[in-house]
Amino acid sequence: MKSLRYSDWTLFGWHGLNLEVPLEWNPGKITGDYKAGSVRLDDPTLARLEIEWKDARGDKRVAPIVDRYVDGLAQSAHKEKKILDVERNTDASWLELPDACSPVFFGWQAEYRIHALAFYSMSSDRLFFVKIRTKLDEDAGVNIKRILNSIRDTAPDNDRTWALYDLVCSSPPQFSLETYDLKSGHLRLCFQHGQTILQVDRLSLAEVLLKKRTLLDWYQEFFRKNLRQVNLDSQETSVGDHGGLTVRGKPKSRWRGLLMPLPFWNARPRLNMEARVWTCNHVNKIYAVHTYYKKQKDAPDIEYARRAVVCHRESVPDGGKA
Amino acid sequence: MSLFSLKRQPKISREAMFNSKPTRNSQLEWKTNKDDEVTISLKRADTTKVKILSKIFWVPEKRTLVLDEIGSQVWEMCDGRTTVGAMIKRLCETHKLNAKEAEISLLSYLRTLGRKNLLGFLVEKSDLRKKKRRASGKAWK
Repeated sequence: MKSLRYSDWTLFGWHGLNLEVPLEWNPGKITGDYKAGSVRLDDPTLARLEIEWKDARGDKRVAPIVDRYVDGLAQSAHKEKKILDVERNTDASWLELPDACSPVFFGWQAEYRIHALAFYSMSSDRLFFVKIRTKLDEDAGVNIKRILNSIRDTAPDNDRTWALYDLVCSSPPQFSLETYDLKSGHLRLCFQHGQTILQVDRLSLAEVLLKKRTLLDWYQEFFRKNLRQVNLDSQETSVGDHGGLTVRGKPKSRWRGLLMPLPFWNARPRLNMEARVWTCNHVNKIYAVHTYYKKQKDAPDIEYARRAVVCHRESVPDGGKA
Repeated sequence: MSLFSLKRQPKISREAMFNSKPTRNSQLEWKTNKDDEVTISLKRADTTKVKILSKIFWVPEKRTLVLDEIGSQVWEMCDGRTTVGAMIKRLCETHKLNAKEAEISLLSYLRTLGRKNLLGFLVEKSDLRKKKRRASGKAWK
């Protein structure tokens, strides 16, 4: 049996759940929202980790759900004329999950060996089901302990840490993830609270993007759709330890909008805009944090939002582990 | 080949795909320009079908394809010795990319070049057979 060892680990965080995973495990599928959803992390050859969560509505019982799940597994195996041996009551004294209530650790073996953990989180009143898949000839005991013991959930009134594909940022508690775009080379997380929007963008290959133009030129070109409705005021400044831009935008006059031909009328609310854009040479990436708000009193603290984005690895704060 | 017959591409496993070695079409003429960009000359195919079509439509005898900076780096790595896995690793190191990010972009790019017949993939025979055996067996989930 070969020992499965990973030297580099990273933080994964989605909808308040944070855990440590090997660096080469990356999201392959993401569904749902804060109340119910799932995430699958894949390594280059296999779907390694699956996490499912759902709103518990105060019901802390985990065992009946696991029973139902195991029954379902047994039925599927029976249909396929296979014998299923589920190991329940496995020793899980090594589990140290401060948020977890009534955790059930179990496992079974089919084409792969599955190590599963189901628990109720007191922090967010959600039920979690975590499955780790290993090959039959792999010994992943150490890794499984590390992954499962690193699971932390976030209470609804705390900042949420979002971490995937080396992007680490956090969102204020009242903001919920409205949309996300996980393209190769461009990640975008967009949070919303009422009419106030907080948007985090990360672009790879900064050297290539900025080879023949300045950061400001690139910014105006890349975000031209967002900037079309505002009068822009930009300044080259240092953002944190990096060279970057401070951008402010005020919505254009209503009268000007009326002069536009009909298809170009903007029916969206007129919002003020503030942004911090910077290039991190350590990771060869461009980061942009935007806030959109109606009134100044609703404006999120852009500096706080900017500081919540961790651009290079050395500065991953302990708080990132939530 | 008949118009309606579809030539099935051999399917390989993910692992085999990572071990495959992309290789440039040896019949292509290509060079690197002063900006380190690869320019590929594509000649008009010399087939009856193309000859007839070129009488009706204007089809240039030669086209030039210019690859961008990263495209050129990938093209130069397609030497028939470097595996896809090694290419991903090299791209990650050079451009500080996340492995998944590099993998998705590279595979999509190689697929595009492959479809245009600019590239071929050297795959171990055993890898082809392995996939066949797996496909016949049912996996239980």
